[in-house]
Order: sequence, then C-alpha cells, then structure tokens
Amino acid sequence: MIELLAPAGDIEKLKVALHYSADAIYFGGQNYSLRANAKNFSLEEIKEATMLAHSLNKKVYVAVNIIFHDEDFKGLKEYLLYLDEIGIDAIMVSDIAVLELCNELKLKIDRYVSTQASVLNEEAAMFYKELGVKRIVLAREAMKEDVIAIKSRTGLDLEAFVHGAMCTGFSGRCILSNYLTNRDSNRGGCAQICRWKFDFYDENNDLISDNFWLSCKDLSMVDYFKEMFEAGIYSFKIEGRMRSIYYIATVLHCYRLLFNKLSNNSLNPAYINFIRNILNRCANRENATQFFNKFPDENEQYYLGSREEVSNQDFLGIVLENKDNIITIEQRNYFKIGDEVQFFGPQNEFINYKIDNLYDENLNKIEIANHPQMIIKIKAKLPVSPGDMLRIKIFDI
Amino acid sequence: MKNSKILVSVKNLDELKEYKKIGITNFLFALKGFSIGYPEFTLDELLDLDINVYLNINLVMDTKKINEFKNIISKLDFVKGIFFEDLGIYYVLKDHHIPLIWNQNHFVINSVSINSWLNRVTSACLTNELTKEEIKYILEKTSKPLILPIFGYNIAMYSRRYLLSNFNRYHGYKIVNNGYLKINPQNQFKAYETENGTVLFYHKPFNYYPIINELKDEKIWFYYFDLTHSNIAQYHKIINNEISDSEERFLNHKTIYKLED
Repeated sequence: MIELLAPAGDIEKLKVALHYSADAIYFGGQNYSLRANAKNFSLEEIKEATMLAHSLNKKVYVAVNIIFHDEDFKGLKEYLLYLDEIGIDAIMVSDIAVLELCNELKLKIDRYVSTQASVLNEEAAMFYKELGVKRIVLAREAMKEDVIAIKSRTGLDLEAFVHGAMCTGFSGRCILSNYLTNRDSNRGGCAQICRWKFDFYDENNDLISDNFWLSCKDLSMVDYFKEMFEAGIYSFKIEGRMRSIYYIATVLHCYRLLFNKLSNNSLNPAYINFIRNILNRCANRENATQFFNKFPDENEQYYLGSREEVSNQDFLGIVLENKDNIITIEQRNYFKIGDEVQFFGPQNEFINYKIDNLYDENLNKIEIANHPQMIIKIKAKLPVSPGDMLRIKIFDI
Repeated sequence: MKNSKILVSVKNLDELKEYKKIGITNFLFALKGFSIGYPEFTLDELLDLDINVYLNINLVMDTKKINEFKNIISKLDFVKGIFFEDLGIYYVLKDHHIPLIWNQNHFVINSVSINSWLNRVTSACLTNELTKEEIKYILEKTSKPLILPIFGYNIAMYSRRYLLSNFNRYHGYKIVNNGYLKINPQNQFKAYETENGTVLFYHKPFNYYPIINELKDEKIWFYYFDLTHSNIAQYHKIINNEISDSEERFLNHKTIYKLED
C-alpha cells in the first residue's frame, strides 16, 4: 500500500486532486502555513474539504508549518482545537511549540513533521517520535540509505516528495527572501530568490560571471518511485499548492498509472518513458531525480534562468457531462476539428480521439473552440466522465 | 558585560593568546567535519588550550555523518558545551553530561519553543532575525539564560549542494570554493563551499552591541562575538562603539508574514 498525496491551493484544486485519485490532500489554512500567497482555505473551507475527502474515504492534512515568532501564536490554540473537532487527519508541523501544544491539548489529530525540519537521520526522527509524531516528511536531501535507516529503525511512516519544485537550500535554512524582499521565508513569504540572477565574483572581487544561478531543476522520481517504495516510503508527495489544476491532474494521473502498473507487474521501460514524456511536457521546467540515487551535481542545476521557462497550451478542456453520447466540455485552450486529442481521467488510461465534430452549447455546428471557458459539445461514444480532461495528443504508448 | 560572559569565535588558534590577555576564556569552535561556514578545528587541536572550549556542530546530518559523529563522542569530555543544529545530535548526546545549546539556525525565534527546549538542554542561541522588542520579550519569558549573538555575519542560506563548483564546472570555469554573489551593491552574499555543501553569509555584519544595555544581563548566559572574519582589533572596535558599516535590518524592522492579496 502506498499513499499518493496531492497539494491543493484552493477548493477547486482539491476537488480535482480527489477526482484524480489522490489518497490524501494537503493544504494550508489562512494562517500558519508556508504558502502565504496561495489562496489557502478558510475555516469553513477546511471543514468542507474534510467532509468531502472523508466521504470518499480519503485523508486531509493541514500545514501548520511556519516557524513561529511569539506574536504568531495568537489564535493557534483555537485553530488546533477547531481542526481537531472537525476531524482532519493530520497537521504538518515544523515548530516544536506546536507539537508540545498538541500534546498538552490531547488532540486526536496525528502530527507529521514537515520537511522544513530537514530530518535526514534516525536520531532526529526518534526525537520527534518521542514527541508523539506519527510521520516524518523527509528532507528533500534524503538519499536512499537515509530512507532505509530511518524506516527500519524508527518504524515511522515516511513521506517524501516525488515530483515538483525543489528548494536549493535546506528547507527552513534559507532567509534570502528576508534580506531581499523583507518577506519571511519561514512564515510563508518565500520569494524564490534562488531563481534570481546573481553576479558571481571570486574572493578577490574579480567577476567570474554576471549570469549566476542558484536554482536547481525540479524533482521527478519517475525512474525511482519503485525503489522509494522498497526503501520504505509510504506517502508519495506531489509539490505545488500553487500549481494549475491541469498540472495536478496530470501528475497524479501519471503516478497513479505507474503504481497500478507496478502492482500488476506490467511496468516496463517503454511505459516509464511514455509517462516521463507526459510529465516533462506538463511542467515548465526541467527535472531530475536530485538526491535519492546520487549526489546532485551541475546536471541537477538549472542554469537557463527563470525567464527561459516555457509554457504550452496542451490543456484543451474539462469534461462537464457525458450523456446520450454527447460529451460536454468547458474549453481551456484553442482547438479545432481535425485535431488529434487525448482524454484522460482516473477511470481510464488515455483515450485518443480525432475531433471530427464540434458543437456550441446550443448544438450549433462550429469548426473551432476558440473562446476561453466556452461550452462545447462533441458527439462521440467514449467512456469519459465529468472531471476528465482533454489535451493535445503529443505522446502515445 | 563581564569577560566571563563573553564567548568568541576566532579564525585561528594563534589569536587565542590575545583574547586571553584581556580575560576572555570562552571560545566557540566549529568542529572539523561536522560544521559549515566557519574555520574548522579538530578535537586534538582543541584539547589542551587552557580555555573553555565550546563546539559548534551546525551541519544538517545524514545517516553517514551522524554515525561518524557517534564515533567521536567518547573524546568530547573536555568540552564545556555543544551548539547543535541537527536534532539528531541532541538525541545521541542527551544522556551524556555535556551541556547542550539549541542552535537550530532560524528556528530559535520564539519563547515557547525555547522554553520547550530549555526543559531538555542547558541553553539556546538566539536567531538573528528577531527585532529588538522580540529579543527583550524572549529574554523576559524564557526560563534559563540564553546566548545572544552580538556581532557576526548571518547565514542567509545553507545548501547541501555544491553551488559554486557546479556552476563553474558547467561553464568550464576555474573551480573556486568561495566568492561573492551579488544582486546589487547593497545586497551581496559571501559564499563558501565545502565538501558538506554551500553557505551564503550576508556581506555586512550585524552588531547588537549598542543595544545590550537595554537587555537584562542576568537573562544572558553568553554574549557571542563571531570574529572568524576579523580579529581582536575588531572586538575592541565593537566594544568601543566604533563599528559603522553594520547591518541591523532585522533588529529594527519586522519581516512580513501575511502577504497582501
């Protein structure tokens, strides 16, 4: 058994993640979480999200992972009691004060140590275990031998990032944002200074380069997720509370397919390559495996610069309804009759289809779908469901 | 400020005699192989110095590194205290007699967490991203005397990656292990790379000496001077209030927590 853990920046993204087979969702409330510029969830929305997830037998984790200044504790006790009362499954924590408070309040919710705590060894994990923690979200720098050691000697649930952006520094050990933007990175204000361009001088103050980058490539564990599982990772975490619904759906769908193939012994290199191509196309930055299998070098760094990132218009629409062989779709990007497209959803792998008819919402024939969020209809007998997505077909198995 | 409450880091052992002449006997040394960003010293070098030796162990440690550390624990008896970043260090030393100082960079920033740690360890070393009012509040609320950094360079980022040599190798430049990363003249970072990763220090020192008279001396165990980038002349400048190019932005300005929509 594994857990596929997805981010949610708001309720819409949460619903997409649940639809796309996430076993658990993580997000932040309006306070105390490390994505202060994500929409985040109100108290009512946290309750709604929890009820929705639980109705589908899925779990909800709430980030309470800022490093607190004294003034930030205001309201924390009431917030934790509320989370406990509505029955969220766990909170993710970095600050020992929150763990102590949870113990003091005898809360039922599980406590997970956030990656901000940078746990890389069994002794640090044991420290947290003795504080009542049930799970460690490993430091992004954890290597395979660290995972094996921590799992075998602590028995704790281990969670690790499997896909998404990486911090260049140890999480929690970077305050470049504090210096350059006055935004506290350890309280949700990270301005991604590692993606800024620096001038690089040697110790004699002679210029080496006026185009220096700290930034590293994103993480992708497509090639190593099986080894992660065998090493002891239980929860496979996708980064990106601020990512698009298309990104969340695509990444979840791809990893779920990989796990399904793994569990029925049908996984092969060609399929992994196919999935890798889809994931690479979906993200707008290059990726690499980073620390798990080897120490990262210059090939894991990102030297092109943030302005060179690319985006595409692959995401064509979302299925709203499939009834009487008429598929209703909300458009997201331009497409037209004759295009080769691909439906994907949690109940299907991929459905290739050549657009041979298009109608507007009143069933008037059209040739192109060119208005953002316009409602279009396709007459076709396809096993797609509401929430499934449509994209340009680039890759095929 | 009594000399017995002053803790100093130096860049080489030859400097110790100068400090000892003026009555300073407490020194903090980065332990070779287990630290990053500071001049490192071996246990053998520190063994018979006739001073009070405190060790700075500021690596975030993986399994291999902490196992290496376990092998030297029996040699630490002469040490007066250990500043630790990784909580694994606390865990392996908690049943030993060595005084421990919680020094998790950027985490020692509220009185509640500090008091929690003070139930376990001897003291804690305050983080530099605090305002003056926050420092006063923490000193008021905490249960044991703390260590207050007075002068030094703040670590702004710590990475396990080889950020300088990776870049130079990628571009075919000569490999260097330190240098400066600059956004503009006001915002520069001194970068150091070792086999344990890379750290960036803000290029200007902080100097909290001018505020110490506003703080409760009895709540401070040590006033810590990191002079690894300078020397005893700098120490005299500090205590004579002759430092002019320091940077105290965090002391005087809160950082933003909640961003506006």
